[in-house]
Amino acid sequence: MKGLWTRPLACAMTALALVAIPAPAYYHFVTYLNGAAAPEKFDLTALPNKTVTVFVSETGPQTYSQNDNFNSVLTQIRQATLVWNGIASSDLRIAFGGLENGATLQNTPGVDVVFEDLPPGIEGYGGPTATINPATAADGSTFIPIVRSTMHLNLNVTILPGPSYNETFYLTTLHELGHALGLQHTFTSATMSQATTRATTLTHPLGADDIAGLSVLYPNANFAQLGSITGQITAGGNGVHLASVVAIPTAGDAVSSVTNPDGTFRIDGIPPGSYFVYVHAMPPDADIFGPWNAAGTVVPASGPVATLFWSPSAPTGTPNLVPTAVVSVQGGVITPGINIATSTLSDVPIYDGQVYGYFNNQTIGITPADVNMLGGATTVAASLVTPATNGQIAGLGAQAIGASVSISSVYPYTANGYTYYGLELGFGSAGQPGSQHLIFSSPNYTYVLPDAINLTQSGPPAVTAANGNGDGTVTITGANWAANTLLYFDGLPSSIVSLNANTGSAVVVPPPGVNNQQAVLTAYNSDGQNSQFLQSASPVTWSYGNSASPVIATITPSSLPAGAEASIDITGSGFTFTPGLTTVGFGTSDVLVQSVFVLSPNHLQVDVLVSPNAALSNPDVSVIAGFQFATAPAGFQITPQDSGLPTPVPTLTNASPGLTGAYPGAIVTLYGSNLAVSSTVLPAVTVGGQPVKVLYASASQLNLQLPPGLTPGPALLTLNNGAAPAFPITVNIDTLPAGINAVQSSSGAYIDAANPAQQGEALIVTLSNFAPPGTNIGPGRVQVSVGGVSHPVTQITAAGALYQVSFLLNANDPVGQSEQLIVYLDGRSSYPASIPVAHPNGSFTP
Amino acid sequence: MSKFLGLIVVLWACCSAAAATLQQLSLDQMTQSATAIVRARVTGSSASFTGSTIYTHYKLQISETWKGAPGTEVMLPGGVAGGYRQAFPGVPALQTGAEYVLFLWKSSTTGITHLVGLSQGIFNVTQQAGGAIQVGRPAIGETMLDAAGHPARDHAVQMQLSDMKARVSQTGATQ
Repeated sequence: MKGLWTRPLACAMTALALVAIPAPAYYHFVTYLNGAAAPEKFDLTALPNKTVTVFVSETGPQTYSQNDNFNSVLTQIRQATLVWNGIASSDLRIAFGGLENGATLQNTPGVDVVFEDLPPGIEGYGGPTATINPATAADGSTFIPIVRSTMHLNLNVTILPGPSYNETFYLTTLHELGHALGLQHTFTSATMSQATTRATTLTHPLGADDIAGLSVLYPNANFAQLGSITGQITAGGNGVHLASVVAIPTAGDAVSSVTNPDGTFRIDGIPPGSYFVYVHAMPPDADIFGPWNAAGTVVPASGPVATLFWSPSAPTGTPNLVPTAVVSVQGGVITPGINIATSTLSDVPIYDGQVYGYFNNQTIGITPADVNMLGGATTVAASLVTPATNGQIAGLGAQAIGASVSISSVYPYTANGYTYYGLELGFGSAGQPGSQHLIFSSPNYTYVLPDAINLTQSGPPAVTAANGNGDGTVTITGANWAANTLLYFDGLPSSIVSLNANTGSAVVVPPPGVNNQQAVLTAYNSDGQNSQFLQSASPVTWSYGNSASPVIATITPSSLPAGAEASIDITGSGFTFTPGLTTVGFGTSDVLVQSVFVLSPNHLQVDVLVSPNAALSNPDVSVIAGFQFATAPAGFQITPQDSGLPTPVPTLTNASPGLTGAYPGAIVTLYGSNLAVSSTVLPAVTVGGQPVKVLYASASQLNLQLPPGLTPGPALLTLNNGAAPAFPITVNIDTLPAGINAVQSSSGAYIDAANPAQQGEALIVTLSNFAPPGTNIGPGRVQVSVGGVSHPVTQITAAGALYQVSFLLNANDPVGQSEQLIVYLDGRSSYPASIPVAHPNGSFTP
Repeated sequence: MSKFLGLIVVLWACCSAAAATLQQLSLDQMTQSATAIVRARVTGSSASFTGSTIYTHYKLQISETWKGAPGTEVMLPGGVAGGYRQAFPGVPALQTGAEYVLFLWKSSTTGITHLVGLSQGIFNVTQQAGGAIQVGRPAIGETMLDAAGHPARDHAVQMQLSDMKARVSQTGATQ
């Protein structure tokens, strides 16, 4: 790469607001209203706990492939909801609600997966249903509320993107859910990209663009840690409407946006780093809906434009067909002025690129191409769409962004009547594995294909055998595994007891299965390859053998009023309830399941919230454990709201500053409504059957001192506000915190009043009960707070049952005789300790 | 020259997805599965709810019927009705005034007349400078699966109207 430029940032940045206002004309469903863009999205204030629930029609598909069934379909949809729910910079939470009866009345927005008799050639489609009347959000922005979203799938899933245990089905579900949440297509090879260019995998299910897309709609405070780029795209001096603008790093995910009618754009949600920025025309088959104007008419795009990279040296239109200038993106900062002057075209000369790599003597093609860079130079095949009548692109060249791949030759050839292009690849000694972006150039056009090639350092993994060990575990053997290889039974991961990548052997606990289930085993490597690449025709399977059919036995209580918070006790038979793999659904988006507590293989407790405006109904109850599921028709009833009912929210929050966890003896806060009838009448509260001391009471908040003798784990909390009892809720009692045994300087001297720590000094904290002996703890999981200031740790060492955490005091840390010291592991605090912190000269005064 | 000469291109994609998921159909397969095939001009559209789905009803002025006994409209999911808008990326829209060859499929259970294979079942009718009438459609970017369920690459279709009609007639005659 030559002529690299880094844009000066000192005078070009403005601070982002803490929570960004949704960017206009992002790739959402947008209506232009009063000069601003109003996206279609869920109204978080209409959702319980800002959670939208995804339901699957209990009628299910009718026809399945061999080894496929409804159980497997359900697990894949559930897994997809977990992925979207995991976006830390989005305020929207997504829950899987199990099965629903289409006749159940529901008032709360949700997502429905339905199976229909679709016409020939259609396997499914999906999207949101929104009102046409806008609403105003708390931040003053205008949006169009989504009232319901639907995924329509075919009753016949033999040729759906499956069978359902395949990665393709899972990724398709993920994509459709993205539409249901308010996203349209993008052109960065992310999950929301179209089929031809998409490059995400089960082990990398969302691209940075997907994360940005959802977070722009539903931003939370974490979103401010990401950066933004703004600018304008013009052609012939006029703003270009609906061009795609992409920020792409040398290695990693691209993030994009689309332009407003005046050509301005704003790309939000960019992870800090260095990016090239380019504009390109959407392909003719982009399938972008809208944007609409206030009258509901589509505001047309400006038309095709040339692909150009941004460069400060050519602000007035000198074509930059290759990346030369870098834009540095910082978290919480907008980088403005990234303007590109391009030119109009009559059509899009190249689009919808695919690059294929080949296995098994070139009989199996995979796109994007997975290429083993340790195997030496190789050839891949590119397929590009062009409007040229002969289907050929004259003078096509190609190059990679970055130095990991070199392309020595590009040549056309014909196969099956279509033109393909062979690309001869070489790998530099400094080449890095991972996705590589390619630039295809004809004499008059440039086409960028993000994540066109995936460089690996081994071939695809394989699964060769599976044998039961008689204790519920299974030994799986295979090849080309890594230490973090995942082993799936159909669409669910097994729990790995041990795995030796060198010998290709693992002992796993399968997810709960059903009678005579034949589960297809798949190994997934973090490099994006999986064993189905080469084994889809004859995969290794595991037979679960005979087992009783799961049945729901009791649901207690089986009726709740609208607005209630309560714990529901569920027993069954034939289940293997497993934490993390168990879902309970109440067949309506008016009931939100907040927590599931597994008490035994056939006994659950779930905390639910019934929406205050819930429709009165008798929904079906479904319980899913792994691949096991059962339904209790009309097993639950929603009754009219009781306005005086105490409704505690089933979460205990540590009330002591800096401390986390609701452990025995802790002072905690319980929120809710109608918790107390007056400040003079304290409510009666028990946890785990033990009376709880109430330290403070109001209608919306109680401060409680948990009994020191509580047993960690789920415990029932009862409350009577003096006028009425609440429905019991289940709360989780945490284990006791770690204790700080000692604080020493790096020389071993103990820190105490006679030997205070000094600003900038390296300290070692010795802790007991920090983690089980022998646990490998990465420094990123641990933070140390001194005087309220968080510090990263430099080292964690185990010493028998004790752990020592090393960190460096800042040069400007608070000085005082008694500064609070807390050590956090995965956000969980230790007991606090106090240490003196002095200036470097040992004094406590300036 | 290329080591790809003679290559059997077995294009099996490990991952693909789109808003609409389509089964790739050949012209012969579409002909066989369609309940009606027409050359028609769209004269208007309106939308309404059918169950929980909004369908846009396109009125057709049929000039030629190549197969079956078509009605006068085709319904595509999505549209604006009753104060709501449904948008299903991947579902095409027909333009009022435009002329098409449409492959139609009437559900025996709902009575709704759909398009075969969404965008696959729509061919634009255009008159060439020399007077010849051409039909065609662009490549489709949606997830497209072949008969084995493997993702497949779609390609644009362009042919003379007379050739398509003859092909339909030939296929229809072999049913």
